[in-house]
Amino acid sequence: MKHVYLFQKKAQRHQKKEINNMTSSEKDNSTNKKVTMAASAVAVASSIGRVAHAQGSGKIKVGLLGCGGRGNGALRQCLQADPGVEVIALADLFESKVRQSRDRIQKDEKFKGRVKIDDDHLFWGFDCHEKLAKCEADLLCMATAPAFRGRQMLAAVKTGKHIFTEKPVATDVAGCREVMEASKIAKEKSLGIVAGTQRRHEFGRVELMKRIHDGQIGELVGGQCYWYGGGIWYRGYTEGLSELEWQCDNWYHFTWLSGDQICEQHIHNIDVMNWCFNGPPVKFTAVGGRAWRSYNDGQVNSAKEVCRKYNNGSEEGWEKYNGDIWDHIFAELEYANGARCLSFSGHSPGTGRGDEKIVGTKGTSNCNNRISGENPWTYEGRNVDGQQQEHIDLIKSIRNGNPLNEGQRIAESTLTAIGARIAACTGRSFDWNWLLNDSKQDLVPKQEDLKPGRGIFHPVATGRDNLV
Amino acid sequence: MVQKQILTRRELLKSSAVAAGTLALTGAAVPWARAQGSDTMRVGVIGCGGRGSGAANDCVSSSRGVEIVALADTFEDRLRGLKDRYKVPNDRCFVGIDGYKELLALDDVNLVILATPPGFRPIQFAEAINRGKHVFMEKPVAVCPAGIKIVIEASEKAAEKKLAIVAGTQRRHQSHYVETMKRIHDGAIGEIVSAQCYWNQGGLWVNKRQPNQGEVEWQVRNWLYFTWLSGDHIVEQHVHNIDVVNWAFDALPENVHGLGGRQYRTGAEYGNIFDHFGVEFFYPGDVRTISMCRQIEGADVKIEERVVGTKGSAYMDSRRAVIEGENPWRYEGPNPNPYVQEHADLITSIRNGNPLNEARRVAESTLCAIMGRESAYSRQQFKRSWFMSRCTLNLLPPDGLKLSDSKPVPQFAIPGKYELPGLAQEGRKRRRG
Repeated sequence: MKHVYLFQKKAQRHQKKEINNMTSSEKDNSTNKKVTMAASAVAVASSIGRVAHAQGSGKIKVGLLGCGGRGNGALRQCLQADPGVEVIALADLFESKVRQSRDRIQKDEKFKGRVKIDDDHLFWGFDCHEKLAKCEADLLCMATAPAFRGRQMLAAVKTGKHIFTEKPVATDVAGCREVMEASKIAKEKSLGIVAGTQRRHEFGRVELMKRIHDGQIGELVGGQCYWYGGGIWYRGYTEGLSELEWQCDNWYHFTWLSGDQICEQHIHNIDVMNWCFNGPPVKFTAVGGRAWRSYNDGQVNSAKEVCRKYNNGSEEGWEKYNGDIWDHIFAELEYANGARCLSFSGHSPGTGRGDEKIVGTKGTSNCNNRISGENPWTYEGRNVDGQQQEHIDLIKSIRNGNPLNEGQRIAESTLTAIGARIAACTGRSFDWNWLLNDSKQDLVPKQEDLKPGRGIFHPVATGRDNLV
Repeated sequence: MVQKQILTRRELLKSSAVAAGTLALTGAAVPWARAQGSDTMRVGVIGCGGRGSGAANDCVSSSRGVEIVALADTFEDRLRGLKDRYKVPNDRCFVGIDGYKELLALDDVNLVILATPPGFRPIQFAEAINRGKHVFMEKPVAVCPAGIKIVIEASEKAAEKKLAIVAGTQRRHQSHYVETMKRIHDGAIGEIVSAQCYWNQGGLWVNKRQPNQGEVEWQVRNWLYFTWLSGDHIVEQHVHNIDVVNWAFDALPENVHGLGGRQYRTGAEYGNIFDHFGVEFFYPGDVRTISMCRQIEGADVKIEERVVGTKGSAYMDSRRAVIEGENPWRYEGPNPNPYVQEHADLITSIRNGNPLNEARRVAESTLCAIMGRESAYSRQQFKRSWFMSRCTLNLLPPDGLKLSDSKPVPQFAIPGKYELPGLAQEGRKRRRG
């Protein structure tokens, strides 16, 4: 077992790195400063004055939507991407998070003079995105739970904001359609949209994909992508939150809020497969379930406590507080040329892996920096931190007057993950066109129904749910 | 009753079965011409339920000179159908868990059909070889590595004794599969770089526990749903498709990583097995394949195999075989009923003096399915070499098992809590180091 165990440790390290990047602002602070500043200096010199919103000053005013770990990380990466970036507004469901984020970023020496957040530019509540969209920011960084991204992006493009959005951008089919619409509006208005699928901005992968698309590994006939890890946080009861607010704070555990793990994390790897094939799959077949989470003693005890708090001491029906997401999905993604690829995702103790492999008729690739087969190749150029580079690329493109627009693509990759999840939850196969055009799946409550109060709970999917 | 649909593999192939029976008969008649009265196959059936009865009938209709002469089953009521049909006298019908021993002690029986629940197969097979019988045995042939070792050992002994063994992985005897594999092995699709196989179906029969029924009796009557008896459905059914992929590669996977669970079929009547599995097998050269199986009432049905090479792909299911790519081809020949053909091939091989011995091969495919199951139960990746040398999992029925015994149903596997014998221990050792 030696090899397996070592392999797992290695994979866990890899995993840990990514997860840290997503949750810890400290980690984000230390990234690749040199690269950033050099690249952005060029960008500023060559493009000041062309950006409508930035005007003569060359300043880009940024607002952050979602003040959790990833949001604060993204904000710092945005600040590091270009010296003309200034932070002017913060928004979150919770007032405490907004204030805490402002305190922290104001104290950060590195961004001295670039944090100008007035009291009336702190927004909170379920409608905070609407207030934020009305302020004078040029660019919004979005990092709330993904459920609300569609409406957030629509509000932002309507008021002419550029967007950096964390992945995924939806948790249901309806949400993906909203993002596609927002992407269209952004295109008409020449607004930029970049998504937090940072692999698309890593130099090595970009070079690799050119070669794959040029046929260096022949026709693509198979592939595999993986993201499984040990598990995730569970946030227990917090004094002062209504049940729905608690649920939003503990969003990962509810499919309508997070999209489940396949959507929330594994989308990175699924997006790489779509990148290889230059588009989403045409057909979905999958199995999956919740084999472990319901029996995780620590989480079960926390869920019971939450139940008691919201139900006058009663533990009856505690299960719903334990969340409804699954812990594994095994999906086959069939692409337009008939290639059937594996998507393997989940959480369970003592596991870890997050990578991809693509198989062609003339070779294979690790989808990262290497080709094996008839045309062997290894990337030897400069490596950049994709999570930093994505902000550099966005701002550069805005200043150049040719804003990147990744909206449609990230909506398609999100929909790919959601499609695989639906196939597993229903036990049914279907094609992309049905999913995109005919599915009526709509899990997220309407904006007017989102108020502090009772939580919104759905039963755990059975593997034989109705296909809608 | 959630489970209403009864889907047997015979029904899946119903349409081809009727037409094909006669073809198989003519084919098998040729060697019979050379055979004499002494070549009469005197068949004992061990396990007289649906599959055993079907196999007995297929065996009789496959070749001339076949007689059903003895029966054994744990339950008298399960044995009655064949007893009446073939007029087997009372003193040659053996009832009870150990009835098979008495049947195997009969000197005049020269071929036995083993069709009891797979958990019993290794010990019954080993005893059959000890007693010098030719064997037709249903798949799968074991449910744990300990059982696999018994089967492989017995198969070596069978080879020494020139005994014939055919297993009920009937695709190996099905014309369109055989023809496709010839082409794959001749390079029609180039080097294999990917493959997929599936057994996704609805539900199956279930026998709920009756009042006054002993625990072991209920479990044996409801054997599909207990890992120690059926091996779980990945082993019990999906072994067919895994066997086809092994056949295409002409190799076994080196490594396995699977997942699965019990999501829809959660009632106590469904014992402790899962209702879905997804398994990745790693063949030599890091060629990775998809294996997917599901038993969920009303979910989509998909039972097929697909092998992808550098020059094309081959698709196979129970009716069709198609090769696409540089060497396009479609099977258009006759399709004799494979459930009859496998018996014809067995008996022909006995009469020709070149006995088929499929035991190791079917044991290895069974092993792959067991590996998939254990990987899913534990949610851990491991090597086949480790599994066979270090995994101490042993689900063999205890000696002297009685129907009235208390044998509580073990908890279904929960990843993270399930301990695969050998694996957890090594993990702990590793952490200390």
